[in-house]
Amino acid sequence: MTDLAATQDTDETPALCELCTLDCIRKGERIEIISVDDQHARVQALRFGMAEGACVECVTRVPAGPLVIKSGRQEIAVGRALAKRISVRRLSS
Amino acid sequence: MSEAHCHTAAGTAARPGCETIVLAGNPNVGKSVVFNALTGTYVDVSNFPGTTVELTRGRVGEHDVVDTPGVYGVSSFNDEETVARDIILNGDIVINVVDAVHLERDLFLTLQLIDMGKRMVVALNMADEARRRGLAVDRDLLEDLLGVPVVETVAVEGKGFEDLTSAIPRARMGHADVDLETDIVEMAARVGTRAEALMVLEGDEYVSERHGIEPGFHRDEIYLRRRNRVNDVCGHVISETTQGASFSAKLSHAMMHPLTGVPMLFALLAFMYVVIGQWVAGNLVGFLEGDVMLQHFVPFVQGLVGRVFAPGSRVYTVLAGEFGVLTMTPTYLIAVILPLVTAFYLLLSLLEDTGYLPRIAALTDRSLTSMGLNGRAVIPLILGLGCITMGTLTTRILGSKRERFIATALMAIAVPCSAQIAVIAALMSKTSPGYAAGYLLVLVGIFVALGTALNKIVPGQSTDLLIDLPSLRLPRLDNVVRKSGLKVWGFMKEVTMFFLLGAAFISILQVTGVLDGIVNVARPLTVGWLGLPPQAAAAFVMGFVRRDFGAAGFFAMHLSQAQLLVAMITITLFVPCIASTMVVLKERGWGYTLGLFASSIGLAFLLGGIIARVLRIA
Repeated sequence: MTDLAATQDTDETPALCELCTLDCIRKGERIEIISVDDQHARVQALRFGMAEGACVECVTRVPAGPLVIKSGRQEIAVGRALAKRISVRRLSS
Repeated sequence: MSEAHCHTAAGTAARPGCETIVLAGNPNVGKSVVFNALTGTYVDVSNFPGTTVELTRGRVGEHDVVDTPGVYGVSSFNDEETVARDIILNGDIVINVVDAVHLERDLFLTLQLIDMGKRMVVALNMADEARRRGLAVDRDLLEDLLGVPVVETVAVEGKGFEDLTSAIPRARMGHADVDLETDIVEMAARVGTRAEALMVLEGDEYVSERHGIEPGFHRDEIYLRRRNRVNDVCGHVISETTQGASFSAKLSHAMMHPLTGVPMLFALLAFMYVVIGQWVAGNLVGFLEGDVMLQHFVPFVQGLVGRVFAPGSRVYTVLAGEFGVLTMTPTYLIAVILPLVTAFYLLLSLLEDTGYLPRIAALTDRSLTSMGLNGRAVIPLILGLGCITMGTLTTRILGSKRERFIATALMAIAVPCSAQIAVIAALMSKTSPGYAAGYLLVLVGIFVALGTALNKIVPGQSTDLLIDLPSLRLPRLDNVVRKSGLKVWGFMKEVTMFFLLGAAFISILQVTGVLDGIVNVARPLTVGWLGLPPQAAAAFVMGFVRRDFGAAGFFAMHLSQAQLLVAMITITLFVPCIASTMVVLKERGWGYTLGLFASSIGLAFLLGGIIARVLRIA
């Protein structure tokens, strides 16, 4: 488990974890939102600027708590449980 | 189109004048300040959702103006959106207030309003702040791209309102989504207006049902296209001149990270304790209550009343006795409640204006999750510290019935309101710090235990945190003073009535001997179980009227430190005051309210007795 997490953090992102859920994204990583598995959250996220297909950046991870995502100049806090239901693609930056 | 509304509005000029202007915008964009400046009447100017649920009306020129709750879009996700949606659908002209710093978020609503075909004007608020943050917004280009007048305003400084007022006659329909045009025109032919047509196409169940039409299922598509248009517009009109605001970004992140955020939160609480608990409750209240009221005011009033009614007579007791309407009531109202509630609201307004609250929500999300809530619940909970009534009303912003259930119960049982904190702080400031800390510790423990238990018991599913973080700002002092002044005034007006009635009620119980009866009957509970003097029963009876009133009942009892701790914990957990009971009843229903009463009384006496045993006073 920890080994896997360690490999995810390297610069050369292995093909294995190019696709994953938002909760395993680290601070500073840029990602593309693939899908949001929650009807209400999807609409609300869209209004905030975090649409499916949008490229956003993870600015902070509150340990065991929410992730803060930046889309344009708008910052959004996403609860950990919800982050698990958002699939994303890592973008090499 | 507007002629239909004309005849109803009494006193409205007949012709061009009777159009209604609706003020719409996201939460925290300064909408209420704009409303206030346009109409001249004061409304509650607040920094987060939940406080503008009630409608505010005013007039500008010959137009009626209606304020709406801050929403991120028009649909039916919660009460506020439903209210805003109906006002917008019925309005003739929309003034859409947008925050120049958060255009990516705010223009989503703007484009939705444009797609609805509303005649509108955009107030580009806080453009000065955007410039300070290194963001330039091209107003002319924005006007061209949207197709509606765009006026720059600085609401809190009162700039740009003349331009805004003079732009109202130029309000017009903007450039709507072209791909939607055919569908909208077709649907509008069936439902009457473009606005309602768009609601149906976006799958709004209420509006569709109103017209007996199946709600559309293309919402995601329409929203996504709108989002792309917003991004496109933003890409064109915003230019970043400098990478500004790095300090505020760092501060913002520090507020949310436990390592730095928890100490900051504790520092804030400690600061609030020093200001409210020590300066105001200790020094100011001590002086006002002890030196001014009890030494001068009360003997003076007793002397006056004693000239007309013999001391010891029934009327004398009601007017100037232990619970006297003219003695005890003004003493507590002026010397205890007023200074403390003022201090509390001032601090709360300062906090609201800075944008710190959403960061506290992110910081506490993890802990609140284990109580079946998410970070958003700190907003009603903190407001509950001001007034449980206000907090209970604000539970509307929570995402599910389950969360509203838990948050309401937590507040009614384990969160003392500011007036009660006032009296408790004044009483506990006489004890050694250990007892004050003990009070806080027990209360936090009960709060966590109760939340965790409710999370296990209450059925259903809670929602997850998904909030936007508004930019951090320095609070404007005039705004803070005005806002808290208004709240204190409203609070005192309500409290005074309850205190007067409550004092009269208790005094009547006293002179008729009923109070002695209750005191005697309750003796096993008060003396035997809680280790308090028998008169404590009177304080609990007073606690039914108001919580702070109940706590105030312990003032004259000369309790030991341990007895004070037991009394304060028991009265805190005891039933909510009449006003908040009414709100709980209205929001949650009879079954819930009865259950709440039973559990708060049960918990209060159970824990009070246990603590009395731990402290060996019973």
